Amino acid sequence: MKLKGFRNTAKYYWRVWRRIVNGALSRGYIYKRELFISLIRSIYVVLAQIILLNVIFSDTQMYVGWSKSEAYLVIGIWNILNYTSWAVFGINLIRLESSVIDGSFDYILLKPISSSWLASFGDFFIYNLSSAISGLVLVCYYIITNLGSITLVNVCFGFLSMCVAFFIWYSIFLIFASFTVSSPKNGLLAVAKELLGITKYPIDIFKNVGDILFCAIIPLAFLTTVPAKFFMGEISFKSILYGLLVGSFLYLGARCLWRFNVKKYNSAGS
Amino acid sequence: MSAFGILRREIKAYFLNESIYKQQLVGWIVADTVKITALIFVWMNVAQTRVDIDTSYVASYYVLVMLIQKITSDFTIENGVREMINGKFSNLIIKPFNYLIEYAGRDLGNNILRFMLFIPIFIIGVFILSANNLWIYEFNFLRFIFFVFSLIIAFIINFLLGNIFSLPALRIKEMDGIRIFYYNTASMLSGEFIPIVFLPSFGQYILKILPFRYTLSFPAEILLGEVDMIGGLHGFVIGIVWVGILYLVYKVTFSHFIRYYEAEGI
Repeated sequence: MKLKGFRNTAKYYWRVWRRIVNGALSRGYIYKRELFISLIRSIYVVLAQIILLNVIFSDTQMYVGWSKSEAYLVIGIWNILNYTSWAVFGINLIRLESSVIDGSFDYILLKPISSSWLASFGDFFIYNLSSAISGLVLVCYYIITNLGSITLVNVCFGFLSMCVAFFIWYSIFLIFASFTVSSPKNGLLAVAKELLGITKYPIDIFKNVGDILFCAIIPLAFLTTVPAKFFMGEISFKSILYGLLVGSFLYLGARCLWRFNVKKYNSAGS
Repeated sequence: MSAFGILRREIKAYFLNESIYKQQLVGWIVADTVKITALIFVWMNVAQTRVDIDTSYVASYYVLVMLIQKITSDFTIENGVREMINGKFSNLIIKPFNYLIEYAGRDLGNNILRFMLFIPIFIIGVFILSANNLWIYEFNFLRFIFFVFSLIIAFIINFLLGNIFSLPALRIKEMDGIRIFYYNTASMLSGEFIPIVFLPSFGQYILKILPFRYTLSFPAEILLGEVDMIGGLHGFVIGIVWVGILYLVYKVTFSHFIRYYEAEGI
């Protein structure tokens, strides 16, 4: 039975999430030192990535068909997606394991809200979001260095496809996390983390294997390579629709797997 | 009981304890394999544009790096930090032996198990590389002995670094920033993210002075014959000096942060 006042609408979920974010921001005020360290880390992340790309491009102008500024763009998109995902749902889903083991996952199931949503978005980590600034800096660098050739439409489509990429990112993470509910300590989230981690490089590094594997089987190409190509104006609008379709398919799969695993959940620790 | 006897029991206890979660360890090994496979592709593509570096060196280097990681990893910054924050660390410091022995036992027990589980993947990796003429390691007894010594130094440096970076948890409760900062630094400077041979000479010089190279890249370089006798000797001296320095830093850091420990949560 649904509680009075509970609405299964986007507006209701948005209001709940806003309260979660407000709580997290207050906590961020308490842990100011952590926030400071996180900001230093952002600078460090950018420096490390600049060093990496300088080493890669030390003897060549093009790397697997990508110029240096395009490689900055791919890494920038990855930074935004990666650190935002950690801030919004990544850490929550990582911590799902401990809540399943100690039995506190029961409380998530008992709340009058979608359990997968609450397990994913039940807390917000401002420190990781501050690291996403490093990605924004790299994307802006690409836009500024290519100001002559880039159009506003490219930029808009680029950011739109990044939203689709974020949706796919979440769906992939949820698929792997759902198994934690029925079988904690399975190591699958570490696999998900590394699979998503390889998208910091253009998919072309894997040559023909990458085209087949990461476009058709595991749609990792939609995460960073496709948004980057939108910024570069090398891809048609249809790819966003394909991405959305792939994302929806993955999300539905994740929801089914979540329900399947919740049925197998044993409340051992409570 | 001697410290060595306690350590042996701790290793056995944690080996058996971690064996319960074999599935998780296999997951971690698969995750590491995914990460390293991507790095192999990244740097093999770079090596194709360079005349001084062979693609087979890159592939062999990374397969060995995976093996070395399984033996020399430290988990204090994950588990130790958690115990410092939730107060369970108190149980360790009241024991009649140094808590580092327990942490070392935990690391070694875990590493032995991870190493055993990794062996099939290592064999498959070597088989694939050999089939593609990318495996360049040739057995040399002397080099192998040096490799074993370098592994011991690598573990000790990793262990001390992990413990030093964990100690702020005695005072700071939100350690995610420091932990990730440490991981990023270690993977950047140890030769995991960028193999040292790809760096310009100045970068190589900096990395040879810092301790991180001796936690990962140095053992692989020895095994692949990348360092000559003099270079190897220099490496061992620098590594041993870093062990001494890090131990002193650990002592000073511990005596500083333990004053702030409030045993919160017990």
